[in-house]
Amino acid sequence: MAKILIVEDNEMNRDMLSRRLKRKGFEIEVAVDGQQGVEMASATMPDVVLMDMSLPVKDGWTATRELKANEATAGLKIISLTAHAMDGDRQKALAAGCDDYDTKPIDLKRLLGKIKALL
Amino acid sequence: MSEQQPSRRDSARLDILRQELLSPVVSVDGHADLLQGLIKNTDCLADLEKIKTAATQTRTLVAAMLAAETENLAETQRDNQRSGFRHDLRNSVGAISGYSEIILEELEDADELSEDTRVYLDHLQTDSNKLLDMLDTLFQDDHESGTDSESALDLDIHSVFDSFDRSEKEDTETITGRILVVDDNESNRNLLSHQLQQQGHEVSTVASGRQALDLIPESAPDLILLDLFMPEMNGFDVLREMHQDEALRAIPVIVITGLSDRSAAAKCIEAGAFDILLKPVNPVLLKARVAGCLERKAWHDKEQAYQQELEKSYTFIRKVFGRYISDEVVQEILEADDGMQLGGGKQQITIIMTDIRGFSMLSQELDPQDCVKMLNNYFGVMTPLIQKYDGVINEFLGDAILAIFGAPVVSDDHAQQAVACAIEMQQAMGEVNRNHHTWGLPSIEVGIAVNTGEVVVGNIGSENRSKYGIVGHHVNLTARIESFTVGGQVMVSEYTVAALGSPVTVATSLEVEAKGIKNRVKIHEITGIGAPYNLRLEQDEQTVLQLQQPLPVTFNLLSGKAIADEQVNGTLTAVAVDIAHLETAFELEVLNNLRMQLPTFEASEDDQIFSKVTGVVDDTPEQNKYIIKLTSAPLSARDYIRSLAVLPQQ
Repeated sequence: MAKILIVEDNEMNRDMLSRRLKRKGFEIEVAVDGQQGVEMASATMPDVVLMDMSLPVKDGWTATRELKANEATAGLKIISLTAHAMDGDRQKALAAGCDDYDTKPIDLKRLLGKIKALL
Repeated sequence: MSEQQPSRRDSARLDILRQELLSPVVSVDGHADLLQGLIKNTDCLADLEKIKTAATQTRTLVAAMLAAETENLAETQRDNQRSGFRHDLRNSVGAISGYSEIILEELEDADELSEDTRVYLDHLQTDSNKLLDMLDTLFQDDHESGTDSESALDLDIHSVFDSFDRSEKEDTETITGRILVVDDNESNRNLLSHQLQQQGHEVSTVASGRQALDLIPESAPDLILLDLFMPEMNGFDVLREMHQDEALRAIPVIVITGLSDRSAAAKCIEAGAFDILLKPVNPVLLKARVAGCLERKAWHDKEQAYQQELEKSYTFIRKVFGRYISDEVVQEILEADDGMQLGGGKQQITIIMTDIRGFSMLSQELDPQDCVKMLNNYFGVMTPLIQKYDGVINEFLGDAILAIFGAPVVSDDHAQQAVACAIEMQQAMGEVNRNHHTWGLPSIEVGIAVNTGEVVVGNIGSENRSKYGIVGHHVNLTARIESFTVGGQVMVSEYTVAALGSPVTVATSLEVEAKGIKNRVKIHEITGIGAPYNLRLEQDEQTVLQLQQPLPVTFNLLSGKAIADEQVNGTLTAVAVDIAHLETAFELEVLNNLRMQLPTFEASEDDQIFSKVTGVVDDTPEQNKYIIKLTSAPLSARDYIRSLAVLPQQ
């Protein structure tokens, strides 16, 4: 069973995403800010990290860079999620080391496709 | 003005944006409420609450974002701010669509998804998608096209504001009227009346509902501004009382209230208020609503006046025509699209002409009052009969009646209606004479002629005095036929008989010449008409009594109006009530008119006796015997002749 870490500060988004992915059979871990995200990713080694970018304490780009810089966690598959959906966001996320990029609100089908592609 | 305009337009732009962005949110709220009534699943109900929370967040964010648009910011600052709002909105709107999807999935899994629930959940999705689309394009124009070109929204705003500007220029004169302000609060009253006076209105004020109701009927204002909360009688009760009253209901009322309760506003509108204005009254809105209201009232008044004018002319037409035409015919004329165009036209109609036999002579003998009484009695009996058969009395000429059938309202059976009418008129002479008998007045007889043909029908005369009438040689022919009739007869032309649908009983037939008609015209004495009328004239069965001594008479033959000089001798051998047998060596023809002198009866020059040959008893040469009927004779002469007839019985 694939394990997914959701790093998301917005409570409703966290609630929705985790419930919907659980229904699809994934094991879900959640973190509420970038710092916690990095810690939990190192501790639980999920198959996929869904990383929000505008996060408190430590934003998503920094967290991603840290995880990718650390040898132990460099192999983690990270999908960047952002509600900004601006033109430059995708480049910015990929430059930080994200493996893929998607926008919010979540289109579950599309996101599942991206997750499966990385597994 | 030109400096203010951009800001007016900018704020309009934001108003429209707010409206555009909020309507999907309002829809989400409404559908979430509906879903709360449908869904039983407690997990789903909790998610529904989250949707409502997200909707509230969205609403707050939209308001904050648009408020921020009015701030004067540097471009980068503005972009950052917009980006922040956009981010937050995408999250809150995303929650709406996300949770609705979750509810849909869970209910589907639990097999608890009703059709309504699915539809409403779909609406939540549609509404949130709509919002997301709008957020994506919201500030795009600013980035892509700078200030040179305008978005579709801006074009719309400009077109509306340009129209406003044009209408301001066109509005040189605003409608004004008499306005009654009803408010117990003196300051309100003063302010409103001053504002309205400045706008050119004539304003009166009262301080209570009771005073208003007392004043309204006589002052009849064009508009009432009504406060709701007042002592004595509140505004709502004033409204209701006004609505009960037919006359007051037409006066528009604008309710002015501090009560922002929506159901109160709805109640006032239901009770007949034209509009509601909230306190404190915005003077611009007040001006606009008052003008709108007065305009409506002016139109209503105009319509009312027109209606009254129409009603008046209808009443006039009824009055004028009603004397001669039945109500049904008047109604038909009024209702027909071209009914009032009584202009000329050729039309096939049937004409009735009646004449009281010997009336000119009778009128000389009678009191004028008795004469009028007699005529009124006669016309009074005949008029309803003519109307009964859809005839129109075209004219009363002295003692004569000219009635037409088949015009102004076209009918197919005017000929038989006229003949049936003529027969019933003869029958009704019994009633006429019974009245005469009661009053001690002599009996009268009428001869009735009926003719059918094409005549010119229409309003004939000058601008000032015109009447609906008929012209044509068939009118003259009818008069001619009438001159051949004796009392109690209905004489009908061959043209009428040809147009009849009902069978008739013909007593005698003759041929006569008439002006304007080339050939001799056959005329028939009709004594009865079959279905559907089934009318029959009782034949005048006068018992003819032989005179013991033949009565010598002299007579002159009349030709037209002229009396022949040649005086002829004869004798009356038998008499009845008004017929006699005349023996003479002179040769006469049926319908010859005679002026008779009775040597045994003293008569003045004026008291002439006229009779008409109605039949031939015997026409052996040198001694012809004819039946003559008295057509005009002084009462004394009639009495004298009658005395000869009844004498042998005594």
